[in-house]
Amino acid sequence: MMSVATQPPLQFLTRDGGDFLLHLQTLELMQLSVGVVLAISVPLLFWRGHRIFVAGRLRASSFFRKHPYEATGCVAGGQQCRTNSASPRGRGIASLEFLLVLIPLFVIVMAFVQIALMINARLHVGYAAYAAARSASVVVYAESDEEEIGVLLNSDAEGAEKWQRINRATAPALLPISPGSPAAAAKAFASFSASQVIDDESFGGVDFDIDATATAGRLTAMVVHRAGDAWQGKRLQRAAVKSVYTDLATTVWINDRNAEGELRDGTEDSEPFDLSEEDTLSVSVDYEFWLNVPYAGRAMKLAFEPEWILQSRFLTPTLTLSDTVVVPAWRKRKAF
Amino acid sequence: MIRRLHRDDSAQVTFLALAASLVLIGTMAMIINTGDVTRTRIRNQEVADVTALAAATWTARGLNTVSMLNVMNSKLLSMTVLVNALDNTLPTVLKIAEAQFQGFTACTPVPIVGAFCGVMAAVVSVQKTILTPLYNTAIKPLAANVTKYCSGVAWNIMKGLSAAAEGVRHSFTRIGYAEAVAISQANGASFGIAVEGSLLQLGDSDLSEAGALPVSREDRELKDFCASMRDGGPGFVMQGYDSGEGPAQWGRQIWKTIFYPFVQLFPHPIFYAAYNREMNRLGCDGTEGEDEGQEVEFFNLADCRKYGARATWSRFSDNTDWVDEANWGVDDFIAFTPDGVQNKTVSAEDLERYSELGSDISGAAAELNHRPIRAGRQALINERDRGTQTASCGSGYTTAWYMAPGSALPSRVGLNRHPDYMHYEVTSDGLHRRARSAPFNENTGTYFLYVEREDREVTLEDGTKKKEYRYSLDEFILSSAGKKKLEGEELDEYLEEEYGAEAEGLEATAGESCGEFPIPHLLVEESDDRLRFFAVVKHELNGDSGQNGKPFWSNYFTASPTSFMGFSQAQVYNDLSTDMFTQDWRVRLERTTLLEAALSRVEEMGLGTIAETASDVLTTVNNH
Repeated sequence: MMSVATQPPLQFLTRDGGDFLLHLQTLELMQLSVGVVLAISVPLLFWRGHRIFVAGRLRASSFFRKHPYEATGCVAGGQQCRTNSASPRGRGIASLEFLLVLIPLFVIVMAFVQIALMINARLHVGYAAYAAARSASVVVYAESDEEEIGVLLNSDAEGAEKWQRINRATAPALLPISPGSPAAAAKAFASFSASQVIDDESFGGVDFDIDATATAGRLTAMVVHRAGDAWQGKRLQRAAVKSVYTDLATTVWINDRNAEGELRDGTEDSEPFDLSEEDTLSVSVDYEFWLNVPYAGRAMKLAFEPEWILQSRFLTPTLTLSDTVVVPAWRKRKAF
Repeated sequence: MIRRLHRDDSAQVTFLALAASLVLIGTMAMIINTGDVTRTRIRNQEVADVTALAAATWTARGLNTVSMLNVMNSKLLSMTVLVNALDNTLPTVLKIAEAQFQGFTACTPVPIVGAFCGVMAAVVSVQKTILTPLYNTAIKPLAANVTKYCSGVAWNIMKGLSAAAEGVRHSFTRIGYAEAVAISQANGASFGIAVEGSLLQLGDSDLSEAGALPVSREDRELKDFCASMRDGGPGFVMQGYDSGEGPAQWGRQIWKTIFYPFVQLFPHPIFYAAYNREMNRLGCDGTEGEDEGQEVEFFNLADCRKYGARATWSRFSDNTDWVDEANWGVDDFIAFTPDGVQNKTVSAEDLERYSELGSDISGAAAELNHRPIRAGRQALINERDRGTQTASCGSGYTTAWYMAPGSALPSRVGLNRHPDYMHYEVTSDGLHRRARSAPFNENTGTYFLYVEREDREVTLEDGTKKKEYRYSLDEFILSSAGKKKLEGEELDEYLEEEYGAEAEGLEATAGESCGEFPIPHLLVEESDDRLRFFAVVKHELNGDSGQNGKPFWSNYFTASPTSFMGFSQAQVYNDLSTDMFTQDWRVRLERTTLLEAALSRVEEMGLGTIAETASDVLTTVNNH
């Protein structure tokens, strides 16, 4: 059979060259394994704690040391212990114990919820990176009214279309994890905007520059995403807020250059982005994920970005989640 | 009861652990669900891509196959043109070779130029030896059996290839549709199909052509092969031809090179004329793209004058030592002059003297026949090459030799009218015919001879006196009747005059009388949408549709869909050329412009609001 040069459709790679689907799956499994360990160990801990503090049935084989009750003759399962604990003095102690347990338990559970939301968001960002890379693979080398093959005008240039399409491709993936209430979105936006201002050592103000077209597009995508119930209640309002936030919180990078012509190293390039068909496209998506779980969000922010404490710690923080997908230079490849 | 519960503080932490566990399980389910949805969406998109590519690839294969068949037919037609042109060229060239062989053989005994003639006779003999078997064993049988119009083997092969292209046209796209469905199902899609782009153009599509390659031979002609045969193209460059050179042109260049060793047989202009006639026979303009014309070397002064060329003359000198034969004359060196021109008889004395000339002088001589005789030739001892000179052939019958100042001759003289010079033509029968009156046809090899005699008287030992003679010969040879680059009608006219009428049986439109004849399949116009394929696939979350494999936790995430529709668009393209002679059709994914185009049709139907809304949705979720 005669050979036909074709684009390998399943050749999206991670930045390290691995298969992207496998990368997502591995990420999910690794992070879930942490969750499984926690999900087993936390209940076990408190179940045994219950025995230690209340029932006093701890056996010598336990990895805990003997409880003071046991040391004073409180036999495991015996009536004597429960009778003692039911006394007014005992109830006070139990309440205190409960309080002492509740605080760390609450913190741990909240932390886990925040971690779970982060893992969840990370998967969404991975899908957004795939969608952006998929879009770039067909948009960059197409020809638009003002943009030639391989050329991307900066998004603020007249007639720029390609960057808009690539940015918009991330919408279906990122809208579900964006805050839907106006207050939450404003807090999140203020948080990462403030961080950027402080990072830049410039207090000239916050740039609230929304791409209206992209926002409308994302809003539409949200409606489609929630097709069945978009018009119910405040769904539409939430969709609008999510759309605006997604627009502000997402940055797509192609070979370390974004839609505004900014480069990763902090410089800018006002010239149109000129890519060759021989170029490998490394497409990254940065998304400012709002860490909205009380206390745990701040803890996570500190854990991942310790320098944050010196910056805008008075705000509910956001954390930059990122993933990269590589589009190989496929045009010269042959398939049969 | 409540008081008892209030007092009973047992299992209060167990309740907390239970609550925490529910949160943990819930978040884990959320993550698993997100992973499932994400992977299924990506998988769905990839299957849509591969489905569209499968359909497009078969179309690309079909177009490449048709392009190859067109290229093969171009080559076969080129071979037909070249073989038939050679079949018309070589017989004429061989006739010229035979005449030249006789001429050169005849002039071999001529003093001064005899050596040249001998060498040329040998060269022509070798050339005849090469060309004769080439013509008899290769070109002639090929022309009779293989490249013969309408019935030759090559012609039948071409018709077969043309029929094969028609088969490819009707089958390959349909195979692509079938493979698209198969490949989507093999990759877990519950539904998958790919359709040609034109089918999405509501109301505009031609259903009768659905499933066929967007190529046609309707309204095409045999001459649609002309450009590829003559000028080639990117498809021929891929096969090793030079840019701008098709197989016919390539073959012509090859034969042009091959014919260089035979240049004095004039094969170039003859072959070129025959080539042009064959191309014209196919309906091609054979001279199109031929901007170099053809340099023609004339071999008589009449043509030199007619086309304003400049002839080349070579001058030689020679002399004898002192000889004592009293009866020596001009004809001893060059030719035989029958005694008694007027009565045209040959005396017995002359017959004996010039017996080496054989039957040529027997009987009455109607012409003044001449040949060099051995005795005179052997007496020459001091041949000198006096150089060459080019001169305008002028008008009338003056043949000029430009003499250097101080020469014994006038600075510019018409030799054929000079009283001291005898003008000889060497004819194909080997005789050196002395021209008696103008006009005459001075072919290459014509020469003028001037013989000067000195005499002295010497005294022998015995005291007797004897006269001795010394002859000086001055000879001018027309070595070339000039060259001129002729183009277009001028060239055709010259070739027709020199080499006779057109080849027999030529028709301007070969093929029309043959019934079926090869015609290229070319891309139909407005075929853009027919080179695009739109695929739609559907995937169920975490499983095939028939197994109801939806995971239990997905029931708790009502916002998440459990089945996904994906679409993709692939394009068949050829960056080099879409001329259907360039087998470089490829496929690539592209934005789903077909849907947007379909919506514009919806808008034209007066459903603007719906189309606009749908278009907004599409441009947003269209991450392709």
